Amino acid sequence: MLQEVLSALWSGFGQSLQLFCYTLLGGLPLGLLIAFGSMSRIAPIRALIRGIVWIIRGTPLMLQLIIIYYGPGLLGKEWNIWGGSAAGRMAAAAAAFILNYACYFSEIYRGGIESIPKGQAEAGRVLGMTKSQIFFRIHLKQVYKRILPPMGNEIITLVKDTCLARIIAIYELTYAGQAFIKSDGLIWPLLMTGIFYLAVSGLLSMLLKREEKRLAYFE
Amino acid sequence: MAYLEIESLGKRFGNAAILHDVHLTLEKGQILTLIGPSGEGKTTFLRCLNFLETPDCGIIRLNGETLFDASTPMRKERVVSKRPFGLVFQSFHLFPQYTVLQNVMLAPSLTRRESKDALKARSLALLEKVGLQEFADRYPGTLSGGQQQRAAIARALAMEPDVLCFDEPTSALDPELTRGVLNVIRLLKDEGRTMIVVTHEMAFAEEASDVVAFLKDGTVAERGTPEQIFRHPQTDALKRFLQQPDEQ
Repeated sequence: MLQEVLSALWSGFGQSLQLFCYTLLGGLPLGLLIAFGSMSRIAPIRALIRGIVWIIRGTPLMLQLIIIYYGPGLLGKEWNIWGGSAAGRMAAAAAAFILNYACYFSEIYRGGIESIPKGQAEAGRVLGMTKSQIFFRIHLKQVYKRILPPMGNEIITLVKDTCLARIIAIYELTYAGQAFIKSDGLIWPLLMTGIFYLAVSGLLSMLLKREEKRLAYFE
Repeated sequence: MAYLEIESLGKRFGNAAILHDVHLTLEKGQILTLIGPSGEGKTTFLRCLNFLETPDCGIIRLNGETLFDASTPMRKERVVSKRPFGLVFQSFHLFPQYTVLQNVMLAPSLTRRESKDALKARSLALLEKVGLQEFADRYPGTLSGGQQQRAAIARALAMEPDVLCFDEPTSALDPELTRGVLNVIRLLKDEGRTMIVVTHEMAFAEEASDVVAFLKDGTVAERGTPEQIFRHPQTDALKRFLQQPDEQ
């Protein structure tokens, strides 16, 4: 039985991990773009982006998953971009997670960027550096250091949020554990999933701590 | 014709005229100090020269060449890429993630054609000049304010500006650290560098400058040699300021 449970949980874990990776790969760069949009000098762009961020952060991720997965199909058959396959469901989940997390990430980026004293950019300008040189050579590392702790929080939350994907029938870790309650009346497989979550978040905490230490040499 | 000529420079923020009708000239190798109460446009003037602010009116000429003329639309990039001015800030603004040497080398390595070895040798020589050769590999956060300011001076010098500006370079420093920074400025004067210094150090202004200008209400209320300004002030405003320079 243990063998059976482990292999089910392992494959569920694979799905969770996939979704986790897609979200980071898509969400981290998209979040930066959204951050720049929300700081744009062009007022309509700024208002639009901030409106989107407000909506996404103000509604449950579960609701967003449902809307993104079922919404297109409701508009008509030809709009159903996700299809009915497992891959389609994963793509829809990834889209919802990326959008949701990008909005949270964007606020962290924005806070980080705005917290850098203006004098840093001015010093760069006076020395003849271009805007992009100032961003990449002066700001980036300082912003990175400042956003690391809140980013770490968000990423550890993401580890556990992946379980929301079951709402559109993705066979992720929690779903895999819970299935044994229905099929075999067993609760311990579900409890066991906690070990997986703990292991991943523990590993991430360790990596984040190490990264914070590496950057401790400057203020 | 003077080396540096500033004519009718003006700058407003909204309805407030921060600077108006500023006329100043400076010969090559001279030090101009700007004195006056806080909030009367001294900093804004330096920021205009360094194109951190765009003046609303006026002309800036250096060595006979017009760098800026508010009446003719100029391509901003051209002005910016020339960078004939350098600026040392009141609060240093060193880049905290880089060592002192990296701070000095960063901008030249990005903007100038110069071999890495030559740049490094030149940068170390600059650090030696400001007395920081032993601190080349330290991070700014581990230095005293005076050392940070001297590092910032070396960083500005690395771009070889024609005119180096100082915005209250010692105002953020304890008195005992002030001396080291002022000594560096004296050393640069002996080298024949053209400099503009905004300062509240009256003794330094009197002893080191060639020209002193008193800024009041956004314009040059009085200018002259240190002797004229400090020994024979003409306007009431300057007389009052000299009696109580700390009451700003």
